[in-house]
Amino acid sequence: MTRNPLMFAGAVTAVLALLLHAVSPARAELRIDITRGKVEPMPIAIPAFSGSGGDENQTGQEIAGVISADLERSGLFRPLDPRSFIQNVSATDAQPRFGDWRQINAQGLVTGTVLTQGDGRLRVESRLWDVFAEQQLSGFGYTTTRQNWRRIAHIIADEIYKRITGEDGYFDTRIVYIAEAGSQAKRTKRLAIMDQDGANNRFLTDGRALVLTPRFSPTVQEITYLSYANGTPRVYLFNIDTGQQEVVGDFPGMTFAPRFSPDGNRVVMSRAENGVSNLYSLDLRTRQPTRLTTSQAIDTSPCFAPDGSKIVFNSDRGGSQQLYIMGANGGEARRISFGSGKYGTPVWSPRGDQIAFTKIDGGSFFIGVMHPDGSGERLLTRDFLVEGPTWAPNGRVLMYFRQSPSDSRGYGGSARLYSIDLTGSNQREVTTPQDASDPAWSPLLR
Amino acid sequence: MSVATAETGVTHEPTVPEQTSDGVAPRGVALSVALHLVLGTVFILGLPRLFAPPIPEELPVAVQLVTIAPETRATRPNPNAPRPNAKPDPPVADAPVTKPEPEPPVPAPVPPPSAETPLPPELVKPPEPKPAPPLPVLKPEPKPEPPKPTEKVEVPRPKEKPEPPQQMAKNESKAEQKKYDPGQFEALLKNLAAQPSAPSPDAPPQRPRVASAKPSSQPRAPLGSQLSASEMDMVREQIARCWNVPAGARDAKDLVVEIKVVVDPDGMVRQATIVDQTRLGGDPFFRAAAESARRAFFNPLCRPLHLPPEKYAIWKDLVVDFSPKDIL
Repeated sequence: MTRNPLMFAGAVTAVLALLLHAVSPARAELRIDITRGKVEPMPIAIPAFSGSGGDENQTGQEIAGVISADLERSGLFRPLDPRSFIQNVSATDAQPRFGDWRQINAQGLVTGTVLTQGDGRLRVESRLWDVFAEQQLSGFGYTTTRQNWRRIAHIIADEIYKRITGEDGYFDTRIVYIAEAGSQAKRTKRLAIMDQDGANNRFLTDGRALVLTPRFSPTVQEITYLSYANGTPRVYLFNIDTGQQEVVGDFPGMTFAPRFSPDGNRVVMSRAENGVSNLYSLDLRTRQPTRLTTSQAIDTSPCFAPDGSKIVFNSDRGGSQQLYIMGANGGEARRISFGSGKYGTPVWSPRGDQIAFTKIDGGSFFIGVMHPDGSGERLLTRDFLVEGPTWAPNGRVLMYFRQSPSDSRGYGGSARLYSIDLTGSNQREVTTPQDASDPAWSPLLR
Repeated sequence: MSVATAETGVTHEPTVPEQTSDGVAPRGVALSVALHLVLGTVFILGLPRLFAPPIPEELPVAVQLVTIAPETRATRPNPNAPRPNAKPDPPVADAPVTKPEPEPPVPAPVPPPSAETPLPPELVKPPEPKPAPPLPVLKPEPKPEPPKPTEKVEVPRPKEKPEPPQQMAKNESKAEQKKYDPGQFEALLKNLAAQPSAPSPDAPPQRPRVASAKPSSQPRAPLGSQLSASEMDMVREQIARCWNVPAGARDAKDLVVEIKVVVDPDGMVRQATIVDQTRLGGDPFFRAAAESARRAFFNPLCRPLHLPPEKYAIWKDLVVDFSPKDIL
């Protein structure tokens, strides 16, 4: 009696299921899952920006060249050879002839105009087109002085990068580094700054005092670094606008390995005393120092997490040099590196998901990355000496320096800057007029 | 009811009381249940192997732990690096030309014109590039397609059957074994330490085809009126070749882009619409991925799609899910 209704319900359900099953093919669309794709640079056409005459056309061509070079260097784009272009774009106003661009297999197209305004300044307008979809993806316009055209080009390249990849760009940035010259015995080291692509190189110090480990403030107007200006190595601040230098904190003894906090209000550094080094932070507004570690070891190379809550550093407190993480105000430290060899100069990625480091193992140097919990260690590059990783502001690209000895004993040779993609591909030299070491990448300038 | 079962010791068996209450011979039922239980136990546990020799104990295998090889591959090009161009960038260790360029016109990349000309040193602080209010649309586009939402893309098709795509597909097939091996994406993340286990381009480890195993890929239809597994694989492969993945991005794992596609009988995609329009507006990474996925259908390599013409009724409306989860 109680079973019959149950049986009936069961039968009805079964019939319904069968019916549904039979009916569904008529309505269901065919579904296809794609979980693979190709990872290769996007072919993009960047014809010279058009102007109404001599100077404008020249600038338009140069802007397109800088955009091309920026995008190409990222490894994610493949600018097409202008000689292959079929359409001669003359004005951005007209819609491009997409067929012409499809034919040379351009997926993206960048067009632009350069116009001199009444006040002598340049008005640069640019559009990004999806050639396959035949639609405009974005358009932007900027006004600036004529000599500032490179920044406009970098900013446009950033916009294109962001629109196509979904991530922020890093082209409108600078690098501060140590320019080296002279023989090994009489080496001069100067603070230098340049655009991310190597242009606009400029020396900030005269080379009389040895300088090391420059770091950008988040505000981009200040650099902190180590200088032997008065014989003792001390941490200094350098204001790029005014050229002014000052010692950070009035500590006895030597201080080194400085780095700004993400808000720019503090500098963390190492201070050596009685054969041990401990970490200190200094509030730049109150000039009040705080001691962060009290170990009988060498604690150094502190670096804040992008949210300012933690500090990663390296220490030999456990016997060998390893990476540790602690709260931003000190406290207990947790070791995160457990591979073979020694780990140093940890740098937290601006997007927070990775920590880059230098590793010494088996007589070689490596640049690697790991997650902040110590997992997922990957070594990206190796050489006789690779050191000093620094992140592009989007956390996608690393720069470091590489020194190759000129003789078998490891002496001589030159130091050069290189950049590499987080995936470990696209390793490239960053050209500098002299030998270069200790690069530090600025945040986006805007 | 429990009279008979008491002796068999299975009084707790819940099905027994019900059956006995129906008046079936209680003793027989109990016996049957008991025997079934025994049979079931034997089935689950297996017959005792009284005379089988004892299983030899696993001997520990000696493994030598080797530290990272002192030989580097840092200067070797990543075999699967996503950079096909062999631009002679000065002393760069990375010019992986693993991928023969399939497209007919392979223009060399732009030589950076005047890229390195340093400006006069007084450019200490860049004045004001003053990003003027970015014009979202510089000027009203002379492309009035008012009835259609912007996301629906119609591509005018070439009048005649395009020869080039065919040819490209042919070229492609030569290169594709090397180019689109499934291990490619693991290799994307280069790790010197793990290099020995990195897949070589020639012998890609066959990774389980997640997608093809999914039942959702198969239309529920009587046999014969659906795409066969190989037909499905073929079009899947083809679309994968047309999809330029935005790689290396954060949170790519959680991303699925659903695209509704309307296909013409000749295999040409007439319309490709991104389904999740709300996320399209708010999430730049989703937008980048979604647009890259939609672009796949307008890639010459996917025009036309390789689908069996006689089954047009099945594939004239497609839903394609793109997910880079296997990639990073």
